Amino acid sequence: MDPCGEHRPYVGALADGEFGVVPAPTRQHVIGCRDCTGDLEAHRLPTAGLRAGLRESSALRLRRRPRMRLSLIAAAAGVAATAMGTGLTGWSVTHRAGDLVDLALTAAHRAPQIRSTDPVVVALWCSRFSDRRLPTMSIGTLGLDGARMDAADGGRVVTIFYRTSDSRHITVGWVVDSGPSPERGAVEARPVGDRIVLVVAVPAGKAVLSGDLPASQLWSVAGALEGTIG
Amino acid sequence: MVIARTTSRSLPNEIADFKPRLLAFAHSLTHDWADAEDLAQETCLHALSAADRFALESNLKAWLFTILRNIHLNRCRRDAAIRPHMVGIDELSVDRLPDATALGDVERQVVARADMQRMVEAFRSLPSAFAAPLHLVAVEETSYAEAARLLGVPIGTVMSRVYRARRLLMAALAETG
Repeated sequence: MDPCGEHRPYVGALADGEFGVVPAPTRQHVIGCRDCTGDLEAHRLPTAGLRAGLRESSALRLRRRPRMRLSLIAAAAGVAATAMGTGLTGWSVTHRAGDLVDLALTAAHRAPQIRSTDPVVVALWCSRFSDRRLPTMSIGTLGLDGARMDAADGGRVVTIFYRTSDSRHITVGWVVDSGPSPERGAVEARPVGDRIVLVVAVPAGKAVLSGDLPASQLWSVAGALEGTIG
Repeated sequence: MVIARTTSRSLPNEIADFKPRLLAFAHSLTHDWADAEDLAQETCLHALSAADRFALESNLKAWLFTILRNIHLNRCRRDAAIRPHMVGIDELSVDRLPDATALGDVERQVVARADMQRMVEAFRSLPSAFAAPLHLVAVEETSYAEAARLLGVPIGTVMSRVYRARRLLMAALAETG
C-alpha cells in the first residue's frame, strides 16, 4: 500500500500556500516524506513559467490583432486632447441649444475623430470625452467604423459611424440635452432633402439616425436600436 | 492577489488594462482565440456600460472575471450545440487523468527544464475544466476560495482540479520532453 496516496492530492494545495484546506496529518506527513516533498517542488515549478508565458502570449495576441489594439485609445486620446486644447472645429460651438438634432445631422457628414471597428476602443473613447451614459455600440449586424464628438450650448452629440454589409453608411447621433424629450421609444421621421432621418427618444436625450440607405432599412435599424436600449 | 482600485486612474482605463488578462482567461475557457476575443471584448463592454454600478472599494479583477464567466455560461446555455466546458469534467476520459502515484525523477527533471513556450503549449492542451482553475490560481494568483467563487464550484473541486491540471501538464511535458 502506498503510504503517500491519501496525502498526495493535497500536495498542489500546499504548493499554492493553501494550508487551510490541507489536513494537519497531511502537512506533517509531507514535511517528513522525501517523495512528497519532491512532488511539492515539482508542483511549484510550473507556476512562474506558466504565469509569464500565458501573460506574454495573450499580450502578443492583442498586439497582433488590430481590432483589439488598445494603443488606438491612446492615439485617439491625444488627437482629441489636441483638438480640445486648440479649439479645432471638431468641437463646434456654432449651434444653439435647440439645434442639437441639426448638429447631429451635420456631424454625420463629418469625419470620425476615432476610426476603429473595435466597440471597446470606441466605447472607451466616448466615455473618456463625454460624461454621458455610454451609447449603445452594437446594433444588429451593423459594422462599426468610428465615432466623433461635437458640442454646442446646452448639449453634446456623440456620433457613432456604422456601415451595412453592402457598405452603406449609417450614423447614430446620440443627443444629450436638457430640453423636453418625447415619450421614450417614440420615433419621429423628419424629411431632409430626398431622404428621411429618424429621431428616436432614448433615456436622457435622443438618437438621430441617418444614412445613405432606404427608409425601410433605416426603420429596421431604429427597431434594432430600440431593442438594445430596452 | 487583490487588485486595489486607485483613484488616480479612471475605471475605463483600468478595465482596458485588464484586457490581456481577460483574454488569457477566456482562452482557458473556450480554447479558441476568436471566441476568447469576443468573450473578452463583450466583458469589457458590459463592464463599461455597468461602470456606474461598480463600487469603488470593490475588487475589480473579481468583478471582471465574474462578468466574463457569466457571459461564457450564458452563451453556452444559449447555444445548445456548445457544451459548457466547466461542467464537462464528468465526460472526460478517465484514462487521461493522472493517477495518484508519485512523480518520477524523469518527470521532475523535464518540468524543471521546460521553457516557457513548451509550458504554454502544454497548458493549451488541458481540458477547460482543468485549465480554468489552474489559470486562476497560477496565473491570476487567486486563492482557492476566490477561484471557487468565480467558477461556481466547491473549494474542494478547485483543489482537485488544480492538482490534476498540474499532473496533466507535467505528463504532457514529459511526453514531449
